[in-house]
Amino acid sequence: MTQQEYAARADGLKSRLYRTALLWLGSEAMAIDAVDEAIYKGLRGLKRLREEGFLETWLTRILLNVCKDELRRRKRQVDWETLPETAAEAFDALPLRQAVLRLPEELKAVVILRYFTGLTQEETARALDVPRGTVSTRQRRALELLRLELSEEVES
Amino acid sequence: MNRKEEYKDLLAELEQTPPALAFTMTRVQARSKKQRFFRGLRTAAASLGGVLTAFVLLVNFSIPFALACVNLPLLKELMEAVAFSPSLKTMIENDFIQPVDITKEADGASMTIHYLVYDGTELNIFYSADYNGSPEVEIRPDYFKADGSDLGRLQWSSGLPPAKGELGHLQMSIHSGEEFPETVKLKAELYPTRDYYRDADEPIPAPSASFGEWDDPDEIEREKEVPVAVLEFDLELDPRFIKAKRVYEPHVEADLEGRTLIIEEVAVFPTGTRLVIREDENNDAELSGLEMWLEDGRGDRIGQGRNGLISSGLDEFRTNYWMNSVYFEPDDGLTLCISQARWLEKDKAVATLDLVNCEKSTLPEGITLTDVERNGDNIRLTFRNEVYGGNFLSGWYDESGELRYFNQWGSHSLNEEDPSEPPFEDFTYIWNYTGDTVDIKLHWSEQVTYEEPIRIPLS
Repeated sequence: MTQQEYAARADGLKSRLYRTALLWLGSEAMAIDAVDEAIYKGLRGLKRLREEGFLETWLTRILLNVCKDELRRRKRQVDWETLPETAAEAFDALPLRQAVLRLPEELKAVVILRYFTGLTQEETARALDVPRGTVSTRQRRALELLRLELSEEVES
Repeated sequence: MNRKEEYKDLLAELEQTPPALAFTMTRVQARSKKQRFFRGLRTAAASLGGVLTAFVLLVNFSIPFALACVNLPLLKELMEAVAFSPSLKTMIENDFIQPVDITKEADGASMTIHYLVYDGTELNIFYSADYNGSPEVEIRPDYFKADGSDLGRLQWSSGLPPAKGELGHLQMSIHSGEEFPETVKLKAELYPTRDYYRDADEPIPAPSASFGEWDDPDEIEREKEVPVAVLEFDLELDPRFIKAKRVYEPHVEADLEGRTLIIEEVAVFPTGTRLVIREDENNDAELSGLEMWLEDGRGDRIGQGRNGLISSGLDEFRTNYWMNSVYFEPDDGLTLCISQARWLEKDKAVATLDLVNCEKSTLPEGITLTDVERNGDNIRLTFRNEVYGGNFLSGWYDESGELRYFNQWGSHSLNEEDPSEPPFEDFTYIWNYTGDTVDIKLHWSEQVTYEEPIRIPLS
């Protein structure tokens, strides 16, 4: 893939990446910065992309790492905490956006990618580097905590 | 409202993206270009291809190296890693580099720090790493003083596995108010990354013991991402590099056609040039942006916009602006040149759009409201912009008088010859609004291009 082709395709993906970053970080400004950083890192590492069809999951993976880095960097400034999974009532009481933000990290990743970004289970598994069955289990658990009834077969 | 309705509402809300997102590729492009400060990204009506042909990766080995530099091992890999940074390349070419060659190993993981390139504001670490012989390793760093205490306000990047033929690169910047110590403790967490690019029919490997199906979520311990190794390095920094800077305090005033800026400080570091600019409190407008560069005594352009942080506010009237480094340039006759300024005039911070008679709208000169399209209570606004490739709108006041920020912005070039030049067609949206006029908050109300760049001697 040439850099021009990467630029065109990354430009087409930025809205999806932004949605992922916004749900992960909870801040518009941080999400914009995270998308910038992920696309820049993708450009720098472009030589490593051998299968062009995996560009979106590859960039998603980079973005999630950027988001995690950002949260670790700002750990003292974050004014919310991840709720334990047993706190079902606490999740229920939160607005959906806040509830997603407070999910345990591995559940949050699956629900954001599957139900807000439109990745398939296979694509989500690739992006998160886990087996597909694990994605299925985590999305079921996340939807239970969020009290959200959605089809497990929701596709983009 | 039940959860499913909340979900649909949240999906709709997420469809609305902020204006800044439209210029993502511009910012990425600016970071990777060697020179030239972009003012905005514009697409030709037909395609992105013409504008994006400017995406160029430059690795220029034509500049002669200092003799000591030529003998550095892994020089080619190092230069590949700094191809995106003219300042870093120049530092290496001028022997501003500290060979380190420290290796730490644990639990099958190994990391070698080869070089440090730094000054008193920024530390760059060039390394190689592997896990069980595979270079597919991500480094997540954290930095401390020698005694393990905090270093203060920092920004840093993690290290993705580098491309073949490159060294890995970690970068850490320290806030301008903090001091860089002579010993930095690096704590590096190593995470193996999966090769995404295996053959399509190769089966996904079986999950390790840390993954698997959850039979009973209430009884299974929550999985955490665990590094395969944590390696610590004590980096002894050379005080000569930390102290390398030239500081001018010109306190010189620049008269920008009746408005005054004071250049309080110019700090020239090997990694960048920082200007502290103060606005005169008596100015009738706030500064929103500048197009500027530095010239040397011969009038040659030597410093312009750099990759990464460009400006940051210090207080109500003072802002740091960053440009590429001019440390290795002759500093006699250093001159700041300003070709353009964008201002938010104090009595024009709020404009009124007439949604029935577009031509009656009050907008900055060169910008006109050309179309108002209603869809229920939602409105799409279209503008013709003759002056600038950037967002001029900040927010709008809803029917209760509350300020709402525009969260979606688009732009097309109407200039078939040069899509980066005006005129442009810009559009945005207002939601849940039924009025015939709407007040909007501007980012800038006036863009002034100076016929002759305003030249301010700094040294």
